Amino acid sequence: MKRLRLAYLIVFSISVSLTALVGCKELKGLNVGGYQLDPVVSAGEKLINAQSMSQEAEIDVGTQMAATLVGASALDTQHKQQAYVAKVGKWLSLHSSRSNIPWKFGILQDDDINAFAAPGGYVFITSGMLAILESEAELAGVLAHEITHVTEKHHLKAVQKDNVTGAASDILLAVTDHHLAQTGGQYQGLKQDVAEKLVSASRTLYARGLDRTDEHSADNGAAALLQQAGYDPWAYIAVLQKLDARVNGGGGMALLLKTHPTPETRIKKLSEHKVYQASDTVGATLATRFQSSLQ
Amino acid sequence: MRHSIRNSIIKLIISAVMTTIAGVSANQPGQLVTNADLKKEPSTKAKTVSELKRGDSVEILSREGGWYATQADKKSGWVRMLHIRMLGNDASTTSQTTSSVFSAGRGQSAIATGIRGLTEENLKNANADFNELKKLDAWQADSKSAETFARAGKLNSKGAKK
Repeated sequence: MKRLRLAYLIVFSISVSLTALVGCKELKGLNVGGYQLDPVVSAGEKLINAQSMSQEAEIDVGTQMAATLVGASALDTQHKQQAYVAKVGKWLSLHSSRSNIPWKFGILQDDDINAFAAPGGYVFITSGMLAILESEAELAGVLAHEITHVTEKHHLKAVQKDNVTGAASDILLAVTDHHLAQTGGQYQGLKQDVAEKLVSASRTLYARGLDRTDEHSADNGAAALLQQAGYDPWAYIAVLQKLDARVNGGGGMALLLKTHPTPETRIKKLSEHKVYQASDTVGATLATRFQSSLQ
Repeated sequence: MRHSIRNSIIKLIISAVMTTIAGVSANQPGQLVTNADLKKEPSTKAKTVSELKRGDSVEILSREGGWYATQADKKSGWVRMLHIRMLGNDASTTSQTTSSVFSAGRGQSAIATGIRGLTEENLKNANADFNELKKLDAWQADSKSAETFARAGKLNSKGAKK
């Protein structure tokens, strides 16, 4: 077992260095010492693209995607509400695994009930979603779910493996340090064609949604993050129950329901999380501060 | 007689206060999804007031931790949240809370602007708007103000990560 792991490591190291020198395309079908490099190179590509993309590059990618979102729906202009959401978001982000990225939180002026994230730390919640929430802990739950999408790089991975736009793997390849090593240059921002492809990918991705496993993962992350930040994790179950109550309701949920597992499924899966199994889970709800901050 | 009227008034006041404090709108209908005990207090160790059956309707009054304070017929008590499914009502298609500022705009922005909004269709045709995105910067909080904010809310952090 150890020998196999060592062999894998050697081949991986060789392929990474070769790739840096030679470029990915030339390596396809290469045979080194009896090992087929193809699958290793593809695995290497996957690793390099999503995981070792520089923060700078990730922020540029996210900025393109976030700009597409606010292009579809403008930001709410109420300063007090925006500042409040940003404070809750920032407090949560300090407890996340990526507290140092430039998190930005915003309310989208839209009656539909929804929330979105983009790589690099962008988190949005619609005014429609805010309208059905009743406490700061509930708001924190929604934001914590989106924060988890960012910390687990769900959107980056989705763009990488999406083949609908036809240019998926090109996008991140063009942006990553891997490609830079090839060209010998420093990261200097997105090229025009890459930027355009990202906008195109964003449109599809936000309209279609992430993998359902990513959504369940984000729910789990939300519960843990709420507890870390001192909020009552049960408030997030309350949010999902409110969404469940509106499944057959008067509208405003179409896109959310299309892009997520059903609220009922989400509650079922989430309730298995340890914070909900423990009998000593406590935390703040802060309904009064929520009400007064959104006046 | 007087005693029970006074009790009803007290219950009403408590429920009004609770809805503000515990963040649940009045008149939120729910239904039992499993058989469950109605408890005197939000604790599994508390006395059982009655045994609710799957399918029973309740009115959800407030939440404390993983428990809902409920009322059905003349019985009130606490039920674990996961035993209950929240039901839609007339109010659930419009904002329920008295202090929601967004209810005024509900439905109007779509009519006024016609083509904007986060529908699948609009997202698929969206163009990047960097000027709009830049507006976010003015609202963001730094770590210090977030910490002050948390202290004011008595949020018991388990330790912020650096």
